[in-house]
Amino acid sequence: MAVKFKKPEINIREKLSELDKSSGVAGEALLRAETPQEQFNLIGAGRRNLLINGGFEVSQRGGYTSATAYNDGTYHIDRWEALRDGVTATIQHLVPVSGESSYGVKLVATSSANGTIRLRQRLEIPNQYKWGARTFTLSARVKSNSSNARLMMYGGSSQGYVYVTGNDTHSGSGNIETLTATFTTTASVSAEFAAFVGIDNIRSTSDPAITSGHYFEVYDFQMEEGKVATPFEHRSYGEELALCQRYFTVMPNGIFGIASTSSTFVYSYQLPVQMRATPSVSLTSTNQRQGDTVAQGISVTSASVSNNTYTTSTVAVFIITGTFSAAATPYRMYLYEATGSFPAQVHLSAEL
Amino acid sequence: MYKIQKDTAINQSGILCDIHNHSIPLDPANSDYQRVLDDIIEQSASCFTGDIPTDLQTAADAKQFAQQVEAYKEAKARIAQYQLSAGDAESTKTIVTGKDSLLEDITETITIPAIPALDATIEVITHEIDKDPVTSTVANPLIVKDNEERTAAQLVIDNTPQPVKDEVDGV
Repeated sequence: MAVKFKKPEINIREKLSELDKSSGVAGEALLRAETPQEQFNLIGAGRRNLLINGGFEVSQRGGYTSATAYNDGTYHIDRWEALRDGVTATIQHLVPVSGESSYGVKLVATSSANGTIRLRQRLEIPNQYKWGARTFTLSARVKSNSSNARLMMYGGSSQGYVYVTGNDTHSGSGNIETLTATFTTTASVSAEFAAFVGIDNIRSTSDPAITSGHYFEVYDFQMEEGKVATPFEHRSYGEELALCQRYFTVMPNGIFGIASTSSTFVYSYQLPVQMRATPSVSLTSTNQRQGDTVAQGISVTSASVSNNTYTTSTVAVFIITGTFSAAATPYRMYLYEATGSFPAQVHLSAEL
Repeated sequence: MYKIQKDTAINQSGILCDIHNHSIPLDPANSDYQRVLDDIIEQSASCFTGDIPTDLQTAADAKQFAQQVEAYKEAKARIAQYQLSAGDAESTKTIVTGKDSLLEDITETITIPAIPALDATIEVITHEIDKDPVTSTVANPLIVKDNEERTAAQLVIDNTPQPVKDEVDGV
């Protein structure tokens, strides 16, 4: 028995013409990708930015909206360590004004010499292979009047400053330029794995000549896996703040403590997120104050703080002593009260 | 200056840094604690008010020992590289390429060709406007750098305490 069946007609010319269809640069890149991971990176899927506070939005330590002189190795904007060598310099938190959308940071040299001014973010190394044998790309929008403003990467003590490819150096034009730097790590990555932006020579081999007034501004700093820089990943403020608090947090007013003696207060503060390590605790001033829940509060001058055995990465327990304005009542609850001429805040730091 | 903060009656436990007015926990993961150890290694007792507590000194000694082990290993590896001014003689190396039916190693000996020594000097031609080029002979900068690195590595080896060498060399 003969069976008859019909196939849908195919216009072979039409099908062939589809082969010439333009897919655009991005489409071509997607087609050329060798692995699903590379395609994943190209379309910007997932959480990409490995840097914390790359948008420079979080600044728990203070405002710094005007230029502030800084010392080498100090923190101002969360997670970013300000470095300087050979020259003096200021740091300023750039807050968006009308027509702009990004926060940024500006470092300005205030003296002339051979030296460097840089920002550094050290990355946590949960295990030495997490970052090992991988290709990453740094990207940032940078404005500078120095042709030595660049992005750099320190690949750990075994690799040192890594060789990068891409448009990693600013022209010094004074305009905003998008810089990128792609690099590959060694099989294992040791301590001090860190991203840099600043005025320095390539791979920091020597200090360039810096003139007073040389500056750089940085916005939207990102580090992502892969060899392509994708658009900056904006995270919510709350999310970014929580990420920063793993390394640094400020205890708010109103936390309960107790007078353990007439001249000693003990506070216990449940940390907002688990910190990286047991934090160091410091007072921002030696003038400190307790609010009393029953009578007048007690001010302390020459205040000093010390850690308690029970401080861990999840709870900070600390002791405050000093010269008391009045004897505290043992076993009475007091409220932490940074105010007026007794402004001491409690800073808790577990930075790398 | 650092000062130990310890009062068991009130569970006080930390190290006061009077430069930054902060109290550092005795937690090796805390980077301030690591800086205390570094300062003890560099400055000994002069960075501390009073005696350095035994547990801190022990931790600093252990850190210094680990650093010296790493430095000694790196220096030995650097010295083991051939000297650019001397080159390297031809050598052979036996490698295992698989197993035979009796599960014995199948080996192959490969020859590593000799590497000739670099020229001790090179010629540098200097051009100046309106003048003839000047040719001068200078020491080969690659050899100079190699020798400097080897000297630095040898210095590290010479200054490494014997217990560290014994640890690395398996004595």
